[in-house]
Amino acid sequence: MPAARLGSSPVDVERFDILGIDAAGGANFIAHVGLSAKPISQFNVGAAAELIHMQPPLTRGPSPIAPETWATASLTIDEEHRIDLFIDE
Amino acid sequence: MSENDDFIARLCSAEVPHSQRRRHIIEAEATQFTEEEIATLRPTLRDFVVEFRDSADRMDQTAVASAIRKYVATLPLDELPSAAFLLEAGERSSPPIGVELEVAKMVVRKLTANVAEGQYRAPELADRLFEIADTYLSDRLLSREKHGAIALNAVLGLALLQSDHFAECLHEIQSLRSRWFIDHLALRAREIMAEISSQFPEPRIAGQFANLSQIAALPNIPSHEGVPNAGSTAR
Repeated sequence: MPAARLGSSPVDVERFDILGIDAAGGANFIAHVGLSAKPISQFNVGAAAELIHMQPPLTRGPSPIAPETWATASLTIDEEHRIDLFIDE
Repeated sequence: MSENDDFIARLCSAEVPHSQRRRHIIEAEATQFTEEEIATLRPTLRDFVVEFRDSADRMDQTAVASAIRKYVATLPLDELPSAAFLLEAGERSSPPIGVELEVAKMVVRKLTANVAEGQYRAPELADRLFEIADTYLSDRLLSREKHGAIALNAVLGLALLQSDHFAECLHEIQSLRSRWFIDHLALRAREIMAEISSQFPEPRIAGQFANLSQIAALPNIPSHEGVPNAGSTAR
């Protein structure tokens, strides 16, 4: 799974890519992650993204955050549908 | 007066402003009550759902979902069939989709955690769940937000209720091309089978087990259309 710390160059975020924010005061510790609720083109550090938050459980909600980290996996359409189903369940 | 008595009195009072009552409803979900206390509280939860289930206000919807979960979770098993009223359309053509989801999920949870001894019948509740399953078991609808989860829980609910509608439902599922839905439904059926078999003696869950086994076996049955699994296509 490709993963990166945002900052050097923008990335194209796909739906359900993982976005994380750092813990306060500790650059090497990720405090919170979620799944991107929608695709975002040319995304970089400082911009806000709408997340499906890992509470747990995964929860849809309008609480955008400005993530510092990103990871992606090539999902099939069926895998996206199953993630949607899992979140709603 | 205990802390809970005071809380219930405020929750049931007509004098309390709506926003406060709504907050109490949400708090009630996480509060432990005695059976006597919850029997006092349940009509208030039911009335709140009936009054606000069609509200477009997001906070009302959150409180309604919370009230449904607490209401169904605390219903004695022999009163669960009465939860059918929550799925009635009322003055609309159908109940709000959020209400359908919460009720269907809670019915499945309730029937997974509680298995009646002997024959258990809830024909009206089964009819409502079948109406939902029959409507949403469509390749066009399943991938829409909440629709798949509602259909999934309605099917599992019918299996656990040992409804006469279950066979028809199973037939409809076999004609679907949405293999992702069938795979996830089968996974949930296997999870429920593991859960109930760890809690209840085999003769008591034989009917539920037989239905859930049929769901669990669905991924091994080729779809009627013979359409290949779209899951093999990367985005």
